[in-house]
Amino acid sequence: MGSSHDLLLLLMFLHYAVGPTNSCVKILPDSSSSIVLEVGKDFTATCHLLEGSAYTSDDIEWILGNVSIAKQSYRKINETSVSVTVNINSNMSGWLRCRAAKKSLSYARTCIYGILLRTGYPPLKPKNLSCIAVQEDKDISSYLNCSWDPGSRNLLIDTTYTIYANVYVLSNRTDCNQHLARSCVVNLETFPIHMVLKVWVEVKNALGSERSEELQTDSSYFAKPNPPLNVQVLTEVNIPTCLMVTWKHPIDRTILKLSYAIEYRKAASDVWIEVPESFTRGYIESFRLQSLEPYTQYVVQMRCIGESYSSYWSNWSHSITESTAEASMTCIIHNLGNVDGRAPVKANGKILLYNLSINQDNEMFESHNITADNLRQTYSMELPTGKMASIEITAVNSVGVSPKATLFIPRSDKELPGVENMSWSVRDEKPEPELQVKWTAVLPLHHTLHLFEYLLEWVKIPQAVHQTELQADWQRVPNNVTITTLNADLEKFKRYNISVYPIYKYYSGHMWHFQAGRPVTRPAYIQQGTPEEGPTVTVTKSKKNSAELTWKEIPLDRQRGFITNYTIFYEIGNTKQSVMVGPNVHTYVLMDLASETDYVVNVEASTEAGSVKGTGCTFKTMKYGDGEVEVIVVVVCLSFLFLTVFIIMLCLRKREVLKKLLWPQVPDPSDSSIAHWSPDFPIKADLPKEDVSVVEVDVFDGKSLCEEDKGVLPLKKDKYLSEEHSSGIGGSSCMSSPRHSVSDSDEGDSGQTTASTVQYSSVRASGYKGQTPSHQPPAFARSESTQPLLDCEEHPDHLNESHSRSSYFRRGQELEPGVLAPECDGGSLTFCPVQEEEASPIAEDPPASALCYMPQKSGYRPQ
Amino acid sequence: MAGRSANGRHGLRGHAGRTAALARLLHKECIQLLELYRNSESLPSSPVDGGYLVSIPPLVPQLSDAEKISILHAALKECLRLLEDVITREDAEFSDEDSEYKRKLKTVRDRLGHLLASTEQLLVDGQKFEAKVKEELDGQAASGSFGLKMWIVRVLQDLVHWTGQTSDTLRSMPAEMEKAPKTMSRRTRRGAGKMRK
Repeated sequence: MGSSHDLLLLLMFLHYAVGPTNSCVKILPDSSSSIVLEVGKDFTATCHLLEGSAYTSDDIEWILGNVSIAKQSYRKINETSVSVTVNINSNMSGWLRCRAAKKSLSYARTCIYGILLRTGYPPLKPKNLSCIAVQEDKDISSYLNCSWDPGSRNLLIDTTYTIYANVYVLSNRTDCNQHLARSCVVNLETFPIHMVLKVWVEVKNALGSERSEELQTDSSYFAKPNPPLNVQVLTEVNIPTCLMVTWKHPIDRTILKLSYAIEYRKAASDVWIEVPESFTRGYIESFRLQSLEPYTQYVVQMRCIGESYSSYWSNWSHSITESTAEASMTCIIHNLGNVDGRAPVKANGKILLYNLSINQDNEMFESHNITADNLRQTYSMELPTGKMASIEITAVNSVGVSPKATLFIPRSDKELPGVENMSWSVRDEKPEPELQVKWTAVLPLHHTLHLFEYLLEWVKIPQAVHQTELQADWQRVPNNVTITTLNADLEKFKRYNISVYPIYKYYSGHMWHFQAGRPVTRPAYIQQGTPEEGPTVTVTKSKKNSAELTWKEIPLDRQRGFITNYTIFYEIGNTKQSVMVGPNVHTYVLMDLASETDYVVNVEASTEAGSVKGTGCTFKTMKYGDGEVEVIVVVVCLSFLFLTVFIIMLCLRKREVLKKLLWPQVPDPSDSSIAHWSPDFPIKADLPKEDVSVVEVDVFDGKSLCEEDKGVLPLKKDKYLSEEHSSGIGGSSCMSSPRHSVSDSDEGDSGQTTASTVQYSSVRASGYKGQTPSHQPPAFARSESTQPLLDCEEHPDHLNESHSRSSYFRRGQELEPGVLAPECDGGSLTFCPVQEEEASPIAEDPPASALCYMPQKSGYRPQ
Repeated sequence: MAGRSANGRHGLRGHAGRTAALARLLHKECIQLLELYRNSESLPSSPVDGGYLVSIPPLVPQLSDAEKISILHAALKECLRLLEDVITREDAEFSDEDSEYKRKLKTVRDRLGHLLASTEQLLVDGQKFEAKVKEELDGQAASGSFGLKMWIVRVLQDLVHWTGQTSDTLRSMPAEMEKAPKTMSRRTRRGAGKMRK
C-alpha cells in the first residue's frame, strides 16, 4: 500500500517536473540526459510556448530546483519565448523548469517543462607525471605504474584519466576512472627493454580534456632494479686496512647493465662514507674497500642503478658487518692531564698489555706492566718542588709494540697560561650541524717556551649512570689555528664541556718537554631542546600576604639546553599571574597575595627552544600575619588579668557585704528561746540574747515598690496579700512547736484572726544565700490555726526588745533595713499598710524608726 | 624520474645501440626459448636438419650495413609470422597450459615485434628486400604431431639464427648510422610482404 502510494507520488512529480510529452512548452537547449555546465560560466535557456498555447510569454516562469528565478534574469524574445540567463555555481545541479500559468484563476492547464543540469569543472592538466616498473624475477615487470598530480580541485563530474604508453607504433593504454585519480597501472604485456617509451596521461570529462606532458625516453629510465644480490664482505687477512666486497648482478646485463654504489661506516659511527662512483662504475661484482682502520668493525651496504644513471636507483641491500684484520700498532694517543690509562685510538688489534714507566728528571723511577683489562691504576710518587716527572707508556698487541707516548707532569710551581676569549657556535651544515670553537691565540711568553699546538677536549655532561670516569674525546689543532670545527659526533640536547688546552713545549735536560697550559672550559650544546621536565615547586613558607617558593634545578641530563629563565605562574580562581626570574634563581617570594586564599603555583623552565611547566602545587595563605595571634592572646590575657584584679579588689572592699551574702548568720536553734522556754519561766530573760523567731520575713524589693505608682499600690497590695505561703523555717517552727507566728493580715483576716482563727503565716522572699529576691515575688506563708495570738499582744513591752533584733526580719539579701530606709520616705514606705497595723495589735505601737518592718516580738504565750 | 632528466631524451645510447642491445637480448631469449621447448617436449638438443625455414639473399660483404639490416628485417618479419602461427596452434591445442615456455614464447613474440619496430627505423628508403619461407605450418598437418613439433623447433632455430645475425650485424654497424635515424617508412612496410616460393 505504501509503495504504491510512493510510486504514485513519483509519477506525479515526474509529470509536473518534466512535463507530459504533449507539454505546451519546450526548453532549448534540451537533452535526453543531463546538460553539463561549467561552474562560473553563464548559461542561457529559452522557453518556447508551443503553437496553440493559451499562454503568452508574460505567463512564463523559470524555476531552478524549487526556487523561482528572479524576473531580472528573464529576457523576452517574443510573445511566445522567454530566455533566462544564470551564472552557474557548483550548487546548481538539478532541474531547471519552465512553467506557464495564469496568475489569475483560470481553467487553463499549467504548462511545464524541465531540463536536468549538472555542474562541474573542466579537468586540469596533470603535472609531475612519473612512471616506474620494478624488477620482477629476472626481468622488468610489464606493469608500468604511473602517478601524477591531478590538482586539488574537485571536478564534481565524472572524469576519466587515461594513461598511454607507446612503443613506436605499438600502443598500450589504460583507463582509470577513479575520482581525482593520482596513479594508474598500465600493462605493457612485455616491458619494452631497449625501446623508446612514450608515456602521457589524458584526463577527460564532459567539459573538456587535458593532456600531461609526455615522458619519452629509453624504457630503462622507467625501470627500477633490485638491490645487488648476495652481498658479502670479506676480511683481507694480510691487508688489515682493507675489506673485500662481493656481490651478484640482480639482473642480466642484456636487460639492464648496472653500475653500483657502495657505502660503509664504522660500526660505532652513524656517518656513512660513500665510495666514489667512478670507482664502481663498471659492470663489476667485487670491490676492495681500502684505507680502513685495522681491527675495526665496518658496516657495508650497496645499491645499483642502470649504467649512466639510466634507471631508478635500487633500494639499499641489507647491511653487512665485518671487521678488518689486526695490524701492528702505529701510534698511541697522548692522554694529557690524566694518568690513568686509556685504550689508544688506533689499536690496530687487541691490546695485550701496556708498559708504563715513571721517570723523575729523566731517570727511571718505577716501571709497570698493565694488562689491558685492568686499565685503571694508581701510582703515587712524591715530586719535590722544582723537579719534573714524566710518564711513558707503550701498548703491545699480538703484532708488535706501539711507539712511546709521554706524559709530562709539570712542576707544581709553574702554571702556564691558557687561551682567552674562547667561545663556540653552531653551524647548520648538512647533514648535521657542526660545533665551531674559536679562541684568541696565546701570546709568546718566553723564547724557550714554544706553543706547540692546541688540544680541544669535549666531555659529555652528565655521564651515563654506569660510567665511573669521564668519557672525554679530543682533537689536536696546529698552533697557528684559532678556529676549528669539532670532528665530533655530538648528541643533540646533551651538554658538553669543551676545553681548549694550549700545549707548550720547551727544551730541558737534552729533551723536549711538553706541558699543557691552563684549560678554558665552556659548556655547549650542538642543539638545544625544550627541557624534558619542568621544575617541581614547593611552598616553603606561606604567610598572610606572601609565600616563599622553592624549586630544584632540573637535572643536567633533562635540561636539554641552557635554562634562560624560570617563569612562575600562580593563579587564584581564573586570574593568572606570572613572574619571570633568572636561571640561577631557585627561590622566590611571592608578595601581595590575598590572605586565606588558595593559590595554584607552578614554575616553567625555558630554554631557547621552548618551555616546559613543572608540577604545580597548591597552597593557602594564612589568615593572620606574623605576630597578630600573639598580640590577640596578650591582649586577652591582660584583659582577663585586669578583670580578675578588679574583681579581687572589689571583693576586698566589699568583703563584709559579701560575707553576709555568702555566709548569713544562721541562728543556732539550740540557743533559741524555745529551747529554754518553759511556761513557768519568763521568757523575757533570754530575749536579749536569743532569736525568738525563726521566721524570716522576706518581702519584695522595696525599691521597686518605691518606683511603683502609689495609686496602684492598693491593687498590688491586694495581690501580694492574696499570695500567702507557709514559711520555711518559721512554718516548721510553728508546726513543731506551739509558737505562732504572725506576719501580716488584711482587714478581713484581722477580724478573723481576732475573732476565731489566727492565721500563722510567714512572708519570705526566696533570696536566701545569695539568691536574687528582686526577681521573685515575695512569698507569704499562712498557717490556718486556731491558736490564740502570741502574747506579744498581751506583752507589748516585748516589742521594744524584739525590735532591737529586728535584723532577723530581712527583706532579702540585697535589702537591709539601714540601706532601704533612706530610699523610702518614712510614711510612704509601701510595705507598711495601715490595715496591717489596724489588724495587728502589734501595729498599735509602731516602732519609732521609719523602717517598715514589723518585728515579731519574742515571746510566746503559753497555751 | 627523480634525480634524472629523462623527459625528451632517449638516453645516452643511440638508436642503433639500443636496437643492437635489443637484438642481443632477443637472441638470448630465443636460445632460452628453444631450450625450454626442447626440455618441455623432451626433444634432443641436437639441431633439426633441413636448414632454415626462412631464406634471404646472401649477406655478402658488398652489401651495406643498411642493406643487411633491411634483409634481416625481412627475415625477422617472417620469423614473427611463423612464431604467431606457432602460438595460435599451441593455444588451440593447449589453451589452458601456463608454463614458463609459453610465457617466454609470448615475451619473445613481443620482443620480436619491438625489434622489428626498432630496426625499421634503421632501414634505408627505396630499398626493398623480401624473405622466403620454405615450409609453412599448413604443410605440417600431414606429418603428424611429431612433424609439427619438429617444425616448431625449426621455427625456434630460425629465430635464434636470425636474431643472432641481426645482433651481430647491428653490433658491427658503425656509429654513423645512429646519427640519422629515420622515421618509419610506409613504403618499406608495404614492401616487407611475404615472399613465398
